[in-house]
Amino acid sequence: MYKYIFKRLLSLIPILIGISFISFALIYFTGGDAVAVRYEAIGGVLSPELISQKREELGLNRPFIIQYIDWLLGVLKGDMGISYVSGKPVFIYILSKLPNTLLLSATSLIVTILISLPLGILSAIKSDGIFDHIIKTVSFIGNSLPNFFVALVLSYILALRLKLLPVISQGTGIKSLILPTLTLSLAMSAKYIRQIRALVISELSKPYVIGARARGIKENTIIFFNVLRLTSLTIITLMALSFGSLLGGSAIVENIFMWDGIGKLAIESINLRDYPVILAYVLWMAFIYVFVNLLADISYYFLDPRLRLGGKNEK
Amino acid sequence: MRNKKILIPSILVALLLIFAFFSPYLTPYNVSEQNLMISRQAPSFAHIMGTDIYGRDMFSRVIAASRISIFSALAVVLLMAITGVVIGIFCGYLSGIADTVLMRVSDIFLAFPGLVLAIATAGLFKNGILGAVIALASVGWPRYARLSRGLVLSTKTSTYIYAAKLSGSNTVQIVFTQILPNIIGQIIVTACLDIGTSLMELAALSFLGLGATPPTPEWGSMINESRSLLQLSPWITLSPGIAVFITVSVFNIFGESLRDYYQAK
Repeated sequence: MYKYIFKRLLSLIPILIGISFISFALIYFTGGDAVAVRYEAIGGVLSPELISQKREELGLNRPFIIQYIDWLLGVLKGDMGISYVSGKPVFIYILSKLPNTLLLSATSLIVTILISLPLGILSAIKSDGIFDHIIKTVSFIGNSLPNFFVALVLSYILALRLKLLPVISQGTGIKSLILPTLTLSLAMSAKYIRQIRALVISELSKPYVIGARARGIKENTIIFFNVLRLTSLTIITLMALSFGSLLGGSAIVENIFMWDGIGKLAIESINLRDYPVILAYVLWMAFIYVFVNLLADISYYFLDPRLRLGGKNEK
Repeated sequence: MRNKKILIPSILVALLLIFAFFSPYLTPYNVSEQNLMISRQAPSFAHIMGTDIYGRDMFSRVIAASRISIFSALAVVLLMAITGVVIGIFCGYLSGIADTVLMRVSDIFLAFPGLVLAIATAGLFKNGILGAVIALASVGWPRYARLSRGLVLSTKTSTYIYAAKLSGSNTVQIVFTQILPNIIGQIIVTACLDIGTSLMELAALSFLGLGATPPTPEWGSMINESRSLLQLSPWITLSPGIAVFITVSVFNIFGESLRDYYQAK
C-alpha cells in the first residue's frame, strides 16, 4: 500500500517539474516587461536607464533557464514572488482565496453526485422508458448550454425574478454558495447522467448480475451492493478527471457571482497584467488537479480488491 | 436506415455553415445602425429578439455574430486536430526517443486543467479571438496526439503495411496512402464531437473578455456586454445565449450521429 503510494508520488515529480516549466515559460515568453508593468501598476513612469537598472537589480537580464531555476527554488520554499498590484506576497495571497474555490468545487462535486447518480441509475434501470427519454433530452440540453449562460439564466430566474437568492455573493455564506454551486453542478450532471447510465447498463448485462438474478436476489440488492460498488471505480475516475474542468469552470462562475475565490482573482490579475499572480494561479490549479487524480488512484486501492492483492487495475 | 439517421444532422450542419458564412448579408436590419427611439424594446414581430440599448435589432446582431463564433470554433478543432495528428503519427510510426519525449510533453499538458491553462494563455496573448483560438488549440492537441499515436501503433503491424513496404513504398507514402486513410475516420468523429465544446469554450473566453472584444460581433462577448441589463431587458443577454445553445446542439447531434454511424460500420 505505502509502497504503491510512494511509487505514484515519485512518478509525479517529472510531471510537476514539467508543469512548472511550461507555466513559467508561458509567462516568460508572452508576458510584457515586468519592470514596466510593475511601475505602471503603481502609476509611475520610468526613464529607460532606470528600467534597465531595475531589470539588473531584479535579475531579469539573466538567461531564461537560470531565472526559471531561481524561481522554482523560490516556489519550493513557498515564495511565489510579490504581486505587482497589491504588493503582497503571492503565495499567501492565493492561499487566502484557495479555501473559497475549494469549497465551491467540493459542494459542486457533491451536488453533481447527488443529482447524477440516482438519475443515471434510474434511467438505466428503466432504459427506453418515458423517464429515460426525458432524462436523455434534459441532459442533452444541459450538454449544449455553456455554463456562463446557465449562470445568467439561473440568476435571472432565482435571484432577479423570484428574489430567493442574492445575485452577487455577499461573503461566503450558504445563500451565496447556492447559485454558483447549482450552475457548476447542473452542467456536470448533464454529462454524468449519460455516462453513469451507460456504465450501469453495460454492468447489468454482465454474467454475475444474471447469475444473481437467477438465484433470486432482489434487483435493488444487486444494484446497491454489486453494481454500484463496481461502477464506483469508474465514477471516481470520471470525477477526478472532471475536477480539472470544474476548476476552469469555477473561474467563470466565480466572476459572474463575484465569489471571492482564486478564479475571480485570476481574471482580475489577467486584466491588470499581474504576472506573478497569473503564474501562481496556473501552478496552483495544476497542482491541485494532479493531487486530486493521485487521491483517485489511491482510492482504487480501497475499492478494488484486485489491486490490494497485488494484481493490476483492469479498469 | 443508418444513412438516414446521419443525413438530417449533416444537412443541418451544412445549412448552418452556409448560413454562418453568408450571415453578414442575411441580417434583416443594419447591424450597426443605432436608433435610440427604439432602445431596449422587448421582442415583437418587427424585432423578434428585441432591440439592444442602442436600438439595434438583436436578431440581426445575433446572425451577424454567427460567422466569427462558428468558424473560430471550427478553427480551434482543425488546428488542434492537425497538430495532434501530425505529432501522433510521427511518434507512433517512428517510435524512439522523439516518441518518448513528445509523449512526456503531452502528459504534462494533460496534467493541466485545460480551461485554466487556456484562460491564462488567452489572457496573456491579448490578441482578440485569434489569441483565444490559439490558446484553446494549444491546450487541446495532446488528446489528438495520444489518439492518433494509439491508432498508428495498432495499424503499424498490419500485413498490408508490410506489403506496402515490400513493394517499395517509402515512409511518407505509407503514412499518406496506408495509415492516414485507416485512422482518419476515428479522428474525424472525435473532432466533430469537439466542435460544440470548443464553441462553448471560445464563447466563455470572450465572455470573460479574453477572446473577441467589441466591436467584433461574437456571441460570448455580446452576452458579457449586456450582462448589466439582465434584470431590465433579459432578451439582450438571452438571445446570443440561445444562438449558442442551438448551434452547439446541432453540432452535438451531428457528432453523435456520426459516432453511432462509425461504430456501427
